[in-house]
Amino acid sequence: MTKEVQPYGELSPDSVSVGLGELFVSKEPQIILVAYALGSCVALCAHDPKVKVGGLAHILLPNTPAYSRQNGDNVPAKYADRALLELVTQLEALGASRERLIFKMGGGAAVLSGSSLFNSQNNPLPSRLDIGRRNIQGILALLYQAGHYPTAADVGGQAGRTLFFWPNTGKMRIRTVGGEERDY
Amino acid sequence: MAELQKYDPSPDFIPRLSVFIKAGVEKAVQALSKMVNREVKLMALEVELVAVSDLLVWLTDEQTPTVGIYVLSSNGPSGSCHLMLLFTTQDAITLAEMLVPFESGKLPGYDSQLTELQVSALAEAGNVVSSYFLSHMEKAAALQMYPMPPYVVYDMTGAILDTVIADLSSYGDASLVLDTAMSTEGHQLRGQFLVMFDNLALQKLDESLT
Amino acid sequence: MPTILIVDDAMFMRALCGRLLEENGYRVIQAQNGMEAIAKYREHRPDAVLLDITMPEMDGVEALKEIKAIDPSAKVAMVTAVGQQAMVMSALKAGAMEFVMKPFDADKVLSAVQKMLATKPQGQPQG
Repeated sequence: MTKEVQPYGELSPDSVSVGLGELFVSKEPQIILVAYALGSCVALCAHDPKVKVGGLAHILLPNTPAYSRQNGDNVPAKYADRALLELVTQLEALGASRERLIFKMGGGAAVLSGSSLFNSQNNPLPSRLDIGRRNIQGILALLYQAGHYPTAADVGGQAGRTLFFWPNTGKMRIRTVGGEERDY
Repeated sequence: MAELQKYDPSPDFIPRLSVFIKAGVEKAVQALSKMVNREVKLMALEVELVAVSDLLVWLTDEQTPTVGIYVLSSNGPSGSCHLMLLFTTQDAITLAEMLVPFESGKLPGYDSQLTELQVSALAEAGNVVSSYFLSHMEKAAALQMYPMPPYVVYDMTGAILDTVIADLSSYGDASLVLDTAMSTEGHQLRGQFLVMFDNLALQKLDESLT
Repeated sequence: MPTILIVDDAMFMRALCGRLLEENGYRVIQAQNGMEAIAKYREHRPDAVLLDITMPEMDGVEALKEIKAIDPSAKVAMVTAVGQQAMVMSALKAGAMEFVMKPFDADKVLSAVQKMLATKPQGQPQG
């Protein structure tokens, strides 16, 4: 997969922005994968500690909708069911073993229900828009079915997240709009 | 841009729709002008058929902290319409202060927060703008949709919009986006008004505007 | 000093309307939904009511019917948005006296209130 590699501030010489529905794997020590501005989307990260490779999938929805299956649109990571398969396949191509993979994930917020930054507001979302929750549940179910579980998850809540992932070490960092950072 | 799935509009649909939608947005913005007691002007209006997967790229800088006022309107057989007003933090404060001249508040990063009353005022602005726009759609295209109560949020633009993109993606890959800039004289209020129709609503509009 | 009951789920609308009426010499009571409106009406017997049509749980038209059941001479103005013709019609049938369209002019709110207060108490809708 080719993708433009851009320098990212103080973090690293090379960061790769993984956009909505995109997936990127790497074994380069200097690379940082970034999923910017996750709302209900979930970034699923995987890392093989032995061969030091990792990847990130920026997932929009848990299941591939019927129209997309029919039209065969080419977005490997948009839907969790295909994203997990594709992530594992691409990591195996870089020498990873699926048994050794460590998974981490972040995102799945209910941003529209009112950011926690507004103290007073908390409108529950109708199920139609409660996509963050469906994403988290869908991805967890897929991981369990495949015999995996996430070793770290920074999910849910009402605040959007930017997620950084170091494929070479498996470190995950979450940054929220207020500038708060958490490492996993 | 990715190929549009499933939905293939008639050739002059977009120009026809642009005229129709522009009138609706003008009515909505007039109502907003009345709320803030000064003229809000439409600066630019762009109507484009965009693949849902390209929406985020097309729209905006995803990381920018933004205040969004969001209204989902739907009607089973007529599909859905997502209405979103986006303002920078400073412009949201300006708008809130225009709406509630007797209160002042600030956003995170500006020491404090918008007050509950100001958030309620922004929600009401969303109510008014969306009801005028939807009423125009009903009159001009017999497309009736029912708005939900507005949500007012503060977050990164991408995080605000990805739920809308996910919802649109569940119904098809085509989306019509209307991107409007508005401003008020002297007050530097600038905002974006986005209208995103799903596949089903687009087909209905295509039929009724023929 | 005439008492006006303002019923709206939006705090902003209650605040805006409340200030306007207080500045013009009215006493204001507020309710945020239909149930609360009925309770407040019973308790305070206001001289007039400004009632929002769209509210969660019990909408304005339902609340209007309940208020009219408590007091057939209740003077109620509905606050409406565009595109609510159907609800406006049913509010009219249920005995609403006046309508104020959102976003509203201060003058129109005041004149609706003044008109209601000037009307002699009776059970019939004025349209």
